[in-house]
Amino acid sequence: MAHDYGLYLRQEIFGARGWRGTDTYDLFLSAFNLGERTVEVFGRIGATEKIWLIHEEYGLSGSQLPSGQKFELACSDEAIYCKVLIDSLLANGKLDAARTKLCIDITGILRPHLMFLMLYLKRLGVRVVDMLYAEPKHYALKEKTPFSTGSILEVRPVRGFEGASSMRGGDDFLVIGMGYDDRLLAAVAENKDKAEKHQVFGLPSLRADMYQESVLRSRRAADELGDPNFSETHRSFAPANDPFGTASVLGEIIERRLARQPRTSLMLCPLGTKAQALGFALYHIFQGGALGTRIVFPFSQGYSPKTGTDMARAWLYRVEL
Amino acid sequence: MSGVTLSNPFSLTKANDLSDDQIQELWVDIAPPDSPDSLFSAGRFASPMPTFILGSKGSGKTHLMRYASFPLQKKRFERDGLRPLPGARVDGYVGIYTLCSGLETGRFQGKGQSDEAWLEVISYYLELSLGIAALAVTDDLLDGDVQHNIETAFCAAVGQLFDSDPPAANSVGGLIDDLERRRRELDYQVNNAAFTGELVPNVTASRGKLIFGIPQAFQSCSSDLGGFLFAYQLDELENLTEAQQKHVNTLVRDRRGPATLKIGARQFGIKTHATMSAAEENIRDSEFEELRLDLRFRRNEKTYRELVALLVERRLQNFWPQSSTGLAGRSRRLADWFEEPKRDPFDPFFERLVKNAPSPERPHMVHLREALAGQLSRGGIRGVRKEEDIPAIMNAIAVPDAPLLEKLNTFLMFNAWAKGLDLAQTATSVRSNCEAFVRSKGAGPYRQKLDHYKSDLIAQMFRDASYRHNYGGLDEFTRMSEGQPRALITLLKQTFDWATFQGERPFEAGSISIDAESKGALAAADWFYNNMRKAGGDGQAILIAVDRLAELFRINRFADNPIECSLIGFSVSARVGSEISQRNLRLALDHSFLVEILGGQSDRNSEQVTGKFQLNRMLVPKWGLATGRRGIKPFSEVEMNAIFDPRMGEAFEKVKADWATRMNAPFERARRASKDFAESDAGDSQVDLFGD
Amino acid sequence: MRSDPRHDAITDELQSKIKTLHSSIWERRADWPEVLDWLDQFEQHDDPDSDEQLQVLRLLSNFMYFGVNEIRALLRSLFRDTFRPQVAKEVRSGLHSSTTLDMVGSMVDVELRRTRFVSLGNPSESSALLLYYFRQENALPKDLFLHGSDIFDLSAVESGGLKVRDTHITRYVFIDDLCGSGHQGREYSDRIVKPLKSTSPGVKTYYYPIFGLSDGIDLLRTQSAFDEVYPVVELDQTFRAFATDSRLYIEPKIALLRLATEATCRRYGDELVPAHPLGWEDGQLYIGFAHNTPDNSLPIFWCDQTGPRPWRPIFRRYPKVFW
Repeated sequence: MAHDYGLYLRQEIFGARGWRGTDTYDLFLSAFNLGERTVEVFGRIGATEKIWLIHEEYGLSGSQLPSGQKFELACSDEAIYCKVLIDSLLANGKLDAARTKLCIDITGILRPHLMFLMLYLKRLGVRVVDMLYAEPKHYALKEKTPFSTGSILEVRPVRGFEGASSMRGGDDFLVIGMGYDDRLLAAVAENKDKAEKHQVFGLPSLRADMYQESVLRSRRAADELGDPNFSETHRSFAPANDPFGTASVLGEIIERRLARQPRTSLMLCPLGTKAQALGFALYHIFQGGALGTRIVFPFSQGYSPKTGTDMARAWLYRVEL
Repeated sequence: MSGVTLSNPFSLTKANDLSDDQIQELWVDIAPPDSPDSLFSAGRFASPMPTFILGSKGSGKTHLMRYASFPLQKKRFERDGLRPLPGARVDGYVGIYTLCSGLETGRFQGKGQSDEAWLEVISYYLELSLGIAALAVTDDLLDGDVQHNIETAFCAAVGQLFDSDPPAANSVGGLIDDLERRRRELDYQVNNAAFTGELVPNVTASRGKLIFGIPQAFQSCSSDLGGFLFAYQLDELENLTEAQQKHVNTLVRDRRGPATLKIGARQFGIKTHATMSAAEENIRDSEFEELRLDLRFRRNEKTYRELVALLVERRLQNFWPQSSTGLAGRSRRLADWFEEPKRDPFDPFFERLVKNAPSPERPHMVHLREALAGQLSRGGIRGVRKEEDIPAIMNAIAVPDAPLLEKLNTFLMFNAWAKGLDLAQTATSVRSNCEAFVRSKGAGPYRQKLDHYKSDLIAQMFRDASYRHNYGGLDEFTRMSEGQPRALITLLKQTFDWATFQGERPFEAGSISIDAESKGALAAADWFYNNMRKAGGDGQAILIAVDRLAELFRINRFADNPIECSLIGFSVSARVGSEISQRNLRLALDHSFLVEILGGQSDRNSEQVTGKFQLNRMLVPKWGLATGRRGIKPFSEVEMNAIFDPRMGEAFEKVKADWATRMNAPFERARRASKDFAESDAGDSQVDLFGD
Repeated sequence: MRSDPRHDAITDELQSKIKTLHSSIWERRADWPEVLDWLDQFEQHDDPDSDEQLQVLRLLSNFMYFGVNEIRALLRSLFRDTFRPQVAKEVRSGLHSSTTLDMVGSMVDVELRRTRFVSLGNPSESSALLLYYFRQENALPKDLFLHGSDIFDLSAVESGGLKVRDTHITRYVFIDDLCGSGHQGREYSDRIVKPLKSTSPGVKTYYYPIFGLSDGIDLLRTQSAFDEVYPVVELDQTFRAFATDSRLYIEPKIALLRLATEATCRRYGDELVPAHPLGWEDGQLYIGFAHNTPDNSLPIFWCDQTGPRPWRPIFRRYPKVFW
């Protein structure tokens, strides 16, 4: 039943040794924000069509927007946004599920949108997508970097990943991909007060000191997490820059839990890196969905459009659906 | 205990972190469960009228509801040798606990569907979910021989409740499977709507059919099955939208048969009591009752103290066996495990506080002397016309052996100054009162002043010595928790952590140091304060208001002549303040940053709030304020807006300046101020239920 | 420790951070009495910025400790996310795109059976311990593990020419805990890997240190015979405590403390490890593991009473109990 994510291709395309060559694509999508990483990658990748995705949550003004093809949709949730995006690409022929060589830079895409996109592409029959992710050298203020802004609107399942909360019934189990934003973490943990929580920390972390920083931050929400002692049994590790390793770890965690308690209501929440969020989506697509797992997320009013500094490394993940 | 080893007996602070066993074992009540005084009875689980159980986070609401729920009832039945059915009759109810967040109502919105469509979905979803929960309980209730005769009849009766497509099962297990299948289908359709834009659920049971029908069907199967209620416990209703709450309110209103609803929510989490039909709204004491858990404890200080003691004892018993084998053993009083802050004016600690300096060099003496000298150049005061007048006064009020009394004396001098009295005469009378007190330690006006102002005096002395203000002692912690058991547990948890980190052995040997207690109190205050960060814009407004309030209270605390003693509360009358200010005040109350001072009138249903409020004492360590409230300051419209309207930064600065000049030498405006020192003792000072 | 409003503000912040670290990642090492004991070896000062105790307390609050669980997680990741996918990539590059994932999986398994994991250094060193954890975490059979001396068939030396013991082996994986300057790795490459590749040119060699300093990694990539060099956790220049772009001194107010702190560490370092006052090869690191604290870290952290100047460490070099 376990899926072998280890066979999927992951490749460093930018690092200490500079840029490696990459394929040319028919269609390239990337979400714009004010960090240099997305802009640099956008410039580097060769593609017939390149489209910037604009998220209103970044609060960018007109003058800050990039030139070139753009897609934006105000007042929409992740399902509506992505559906309109993909449907319009299908309609104008830029996307053909069977034939288009598609590449998506996930660095700036908001997690719920990223996940819905994956699921929708799979449903449409897309077989292969190359996803890119650019790591920052460090976050501006180390453990004091603010990520989400404004009110936390609600904690709810990501559209399409609502699962069957009743499928297994019984006790709630929440696996959280830990990140830097303890505000979001506390909101989810509090909302799922009764659930037993399992923390998945990003280790190996993007940079050596980030693991420690993410732990420090998470301890602020120790009360909400119900984990006063930083217990080993409630903790796992998944690579911060590898969606496949992340999906694999999730599989193990869920399997262990179900072996102990078959009647468990399973929940996931990806608050770590985008690469990890991608891993959560993949796990759901290949294994979790069938188990009735749902993915919940604390939807925030806004997100900081610039958190990381220049690019340390960039990765390519070849997702085979 | 259940084989749990904790490194901190207070580390599990939330009811939802506790297993069923722990809920049972850690439950403490102030009276036996069948007594009307008990907490348990207050939940009125066996009463048919729906109850709203309101309380803030940490008020014990969830603990109470879970304690009352069927899994815990079953444990108690086993313990008492009862079968479930007879047990239910003894209790008078079976508790069916559901957490609203488990329904994932966030799914039921958007996706291009209308609000009406979603309401239909949520109604059906609730029917199925609560129906399944009720059936699960009936499965337990029907045991052994009862089952054979009854089960088939019961299943048939349940089948009749459906509007269409009735389930074919003839066992309760089969029924549950069937309902779960329907619910899964609904889950699937709701999820799929995001992709297809379509949602056409097959609603086979309309509102109330299963929720009220199943209990009815159950008890009508045989007279043996009656004698108790099915109490649906819906917890955390604040997670539902207003429209969804209306739906629940409609269920409350339509309640029928042997079923009832017990709804748990945060105090201000109930958005409406309106129902789905336009004209009808549920009225308290008519369609529902209300239990306000916070108020229970805050109203009855003695009860709360007893509860606290029981709570702590129970935790130690279960999680910290060392405390019974420690040096001092169990013969120790609970309070002895905590070091107390120094309050006795004759304690040598106060001499150390002033660094053993002789009277004339002590900071408070220097300050008074310099203030008087400074005033000379401006024309002097009554009783102080020339330089030689000052030493006589300073000598009169000096108390070398008791710096705290000496400090009080300087206080009394400043006060006299503010009132325009003759300072030379005042100094003489202060001296004689002080000497009399030192001799007899008896009650009287001097003693009264000492008691009232002690907290502020000590705070000022600490600041002069650059010491961090301290908090400690079980009594003080109990007061600070404002009637919220969870806040107290958090205080103890943080304190315990600091104590062990610094190498102490809490509840094993010695007492927890003041240092650890103070750090624990500050950590708990930060935890409380930081909870607000989640709330975004609203949270910001609350934090700004609270910060400003605290700033003003600090000005008072460290002033030469405070307007009120131990000031952490204020009063404001009904129509005072802009809409924004009033809204933010309500928000601060909702999130327990402010608490109502009981005895003030507050009318939650109306748009305006009136009455008396104070800072939640969990927060006071952040600003070194007092934990025993005494004085209350009435706020004017200007002050109210300057504090509670985030945009009024400039106005606030003016209020601050005004307070500072009024309360500090040379008391520019003191004589024009409305409150006299002598009057404020008797008049508006609220006697503190939890007083020092 | 000095106590006054200015000092206290800093001490409180750092103490709080260390308390959190102590009760979480640091596996309950360095409680406050131990910290005070360590700080006592440094001088106080009226000016908080010049107070040595505050300077090193700040350093301590940034110490990166990787406990047993973390090391195991890194070893697991090494196999699951780095080596095995690398093998999969190599296998797939020669295949037709119609090959199913199941088939690829089988082929990868075959390749893995022809792989050997080798410990560097002598058996008493940490590399052997790491391989033990590595094997456990990844549930690998014992026969995939070798000592360096078992790569070659030494009985063949007499008859002239070097021979490999097992010609079926196609991959050799070398695992280490820390790659500093890379000199040790290069030396190993010269001694073992070059002869190996000359005897069996088709063989592939991989060098995976858990932690690798960028300079050392670069050196090995350009000057050694390893086919693939990849650290699980890379530490670039910014991880040297007092580098001009040091991660510890980014915030403007704190940046002012960098040079003074360096001077302090150097002063004590000169007495503790005269040849390397700021750590082996001027490492200036603030990192430690469950099984030891590398000597590339600042000596003030790990030096003990056996050095030229007796010292009380806060993260000892070879802890007495570590799992």
